[in-house]
Amino acid sequence: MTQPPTTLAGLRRAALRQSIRPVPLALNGLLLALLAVMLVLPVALVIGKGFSLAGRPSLYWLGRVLSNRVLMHQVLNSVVLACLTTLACLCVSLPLALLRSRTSFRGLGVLSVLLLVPMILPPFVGALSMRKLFSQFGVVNLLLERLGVLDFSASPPPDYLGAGFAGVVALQVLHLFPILYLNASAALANVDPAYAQAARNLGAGPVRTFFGITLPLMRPGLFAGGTIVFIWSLTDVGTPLIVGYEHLTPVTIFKELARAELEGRTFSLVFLMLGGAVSLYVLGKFVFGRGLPTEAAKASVASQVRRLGPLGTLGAWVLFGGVIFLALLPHLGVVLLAVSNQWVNTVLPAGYTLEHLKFIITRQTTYHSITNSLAYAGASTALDLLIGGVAAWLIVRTRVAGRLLLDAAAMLPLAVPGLILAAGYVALTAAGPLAPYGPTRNPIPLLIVAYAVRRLPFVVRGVSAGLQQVSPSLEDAARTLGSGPVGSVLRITLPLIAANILAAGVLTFAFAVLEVSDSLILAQTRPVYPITKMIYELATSTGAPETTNQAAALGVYGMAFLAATMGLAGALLGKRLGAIFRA
Amino acid sequence: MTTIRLERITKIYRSAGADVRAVDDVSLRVESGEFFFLLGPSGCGKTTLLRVVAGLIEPTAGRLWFDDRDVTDLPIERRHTAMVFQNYALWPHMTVAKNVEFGPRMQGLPAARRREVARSHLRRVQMEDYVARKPNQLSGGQQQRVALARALAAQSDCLLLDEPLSNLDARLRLAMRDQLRQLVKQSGATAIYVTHDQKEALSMADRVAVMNVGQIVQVGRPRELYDRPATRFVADFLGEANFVDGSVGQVGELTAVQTAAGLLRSDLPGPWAVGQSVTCCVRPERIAVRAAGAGDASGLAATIESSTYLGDQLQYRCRLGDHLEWKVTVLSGQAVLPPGTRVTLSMSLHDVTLLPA
Repeated sequence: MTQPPTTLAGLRRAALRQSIRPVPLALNGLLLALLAVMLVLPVALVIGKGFSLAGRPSLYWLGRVLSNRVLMHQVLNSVVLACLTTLACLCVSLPLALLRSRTSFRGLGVLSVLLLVPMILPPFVGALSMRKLFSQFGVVNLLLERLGVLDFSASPPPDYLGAGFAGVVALQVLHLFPILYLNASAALANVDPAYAQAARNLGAGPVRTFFGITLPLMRPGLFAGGTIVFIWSLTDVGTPLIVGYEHLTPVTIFKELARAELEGRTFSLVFLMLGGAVSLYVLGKFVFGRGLPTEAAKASVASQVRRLGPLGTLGAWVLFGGVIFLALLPHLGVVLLAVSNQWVNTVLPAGYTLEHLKFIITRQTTYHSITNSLAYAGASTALDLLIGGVAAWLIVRTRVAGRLLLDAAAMLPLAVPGLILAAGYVALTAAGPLAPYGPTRNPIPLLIVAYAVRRLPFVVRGVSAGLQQVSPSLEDAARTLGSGPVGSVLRITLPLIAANILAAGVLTFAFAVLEVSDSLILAQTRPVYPITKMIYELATSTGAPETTNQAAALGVYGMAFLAATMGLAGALLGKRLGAIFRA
Repeated sequence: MTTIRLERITKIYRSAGADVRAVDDVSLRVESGEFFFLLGPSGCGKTTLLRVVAGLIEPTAGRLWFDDRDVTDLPIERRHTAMVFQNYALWPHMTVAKNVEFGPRMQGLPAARRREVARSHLRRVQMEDYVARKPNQLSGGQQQRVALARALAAQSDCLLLDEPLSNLDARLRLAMRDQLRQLVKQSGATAIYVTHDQKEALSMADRVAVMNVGQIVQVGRPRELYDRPATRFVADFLGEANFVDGSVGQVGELTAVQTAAGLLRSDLPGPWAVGQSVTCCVRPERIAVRAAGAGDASGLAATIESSTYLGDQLQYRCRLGDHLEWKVTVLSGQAVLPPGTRVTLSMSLHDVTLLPA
């Protein structure tokens, strides 16, 4: 038996041997190469096409974009939208997180779960009912008129959506606030209550203590969630398209990518979006989001939870319930649209029917959009579990050289929005050996890869968390009893982290089914349409009036499916579910 | 300087359907400027009691007075009780200077004056060179000193210390004891200190309250508690003690107790009656041991079972009678009595304490 090294040089040699063991090294190299092709290459192509003219590097296209007042106005509009959405999410989620962490009242458990429901309901689908609900003569104003609050004859009722900007912000906030809520709750849980108690003890009131002590210490968690919200909002294409507000850069990019002839200008615009998203991700993760080194890994004193009295409980219910109701309202509208026979100038539909729901599963194109989505999501999930599982094992269990690079690369999709990646794939298949897989020909492999790349960080994070909870000594024990390395992993580790793998897989599958950006841009022919592209086509069709109802019906199928899978993921992961949604 | 009076303070927690009395009907008076200790094992309620004084915990029953003011319902930030937390609770996003300036800032002092106050207190704890550092850049001992400076800089009438030395290594803890007492006494504040370390309490306190299971068992000066424990729990908790049960045979100037080890006499007064069951308590270091000689009628007969070398001391384990085992501590340097040696144990009348059985 070899003796353990005792000199520094010996230790270094041992570490070097650990880092260059052939199998992990080969796997690491393979995964990095795959990520390079699936992620880095498309993004590089975007940058390349945006910065070249006639085969030579050039700032021409960037100059065209920067000098175009309409495009720059759209960029500014997109940034303002993202800022407003993020700020609004913070304003909604912070009081809820504070109530959740610092008080207890009857019904808190149920409300906390319901608060997360909007996260699973895609705003793209909710947008279908926005006009029906919030337009000038929409359901809300009709209800207010019935209640005597508004008088249409006296003055025109308000248009809550305006030109649509407010509608996009509202839908995004109502979908994204649970992400910040989860991050804020986790951040609050990580702040030792002793810090606030020390401040109160030295004379600071509760408000001063919160803003001077607690909030700064929550900063990393808030930035982690805020970064995800901002990037998502900045690059969201589905919601504005359905709401009908098109003065945003993602919408312009979408329309230009759908054209047969692609201009370098489009890719310059994509680069601007990418630059903004990556810069924010870096700032959020490495500057503002860096955790402050705290002395204790856990709280040194118990958190003081205040039990609310009847009035306080009522107030909390109004706050929680109000937010949940508002968040669910668009989707309730979608459900009503899906089953309504006649719904014009009435608060509720005048008649109900299941025809739209039946239509979706009996008409070939719409039915195939469902099976297409399930197939793409299934294949992408399998790919994610394979790549993500191996990546997580390499990152957590080995000392192989390059694993930190693999970790960073696997998390990179968080900084690269779907819109950017889709543009990259369009560029990749514009010409050359991959042209047969372009959006107008056979984009199925592209769609599967795009879905897989987008969800990879969730799988890596989920499986890594599971591996970190299982001590390596359990595998070692199996090895000492004769089990080989692979066998130890399969017999010992895999069963112990099965719940993590399953939950990560379920979540990945669920979100892939209703993926928006990649689907809208890469699926250009009807036989390959996934659900979201079919919803878009139905919702924006100028044909029969019931196409909106049909789009809603398809959305209902999507939501029901998503709800079922999220419920399963929640049952498997429990409180750890929130950790998935961090930058 | 403030007098603190606790009147029948009780704190009950509801846990898994059962009520837990963390503090049970405690009444206490801490004199102005006193360095008062709450001593007891983990879970006895001492930290809960301290946090009630700070206002961090609301008592289920009872009242709290600072001088003649009822502060039971007063919010935390208006009590002027600066606290040193067990884990120091130094704010990681603030420098040492900003941490210490916090209390003066809450009092409304202008910036220049705040800085002056902070520096002066940091100087007192020898941390003035670290003003620009963040807490995570300091060692445990340095953090402890900054936490103390922060509490002192608030210039409160009352200082609360929750096991501030427990996170330090043994050597540093010893070094900090004297310094801590000196700083607290210099400040003139009334101080309440919570600890489970009896040596800390005995060496630093003006007075100590020993707690057990949420209640005060005995209050007194360190020497009183050590030499005259009121119960077996106090005797056992404060240092080592030998016990033997017996029956009072004679009362008067001397109280004689017949025990399984022999007759023990005490000249300490007590409310004993002939025939009453009592427990005799003798500290190991108060017993003289010598090899038994022929005709040796005084003292208790015993046999050496084993000896343990403790550096400056030697501790014998002695068997008295069939089942009783006592410890005897002597200074090392004397000839060691081997196991099996018949010995006679003797003690002064003043060193035998009688406790209720």
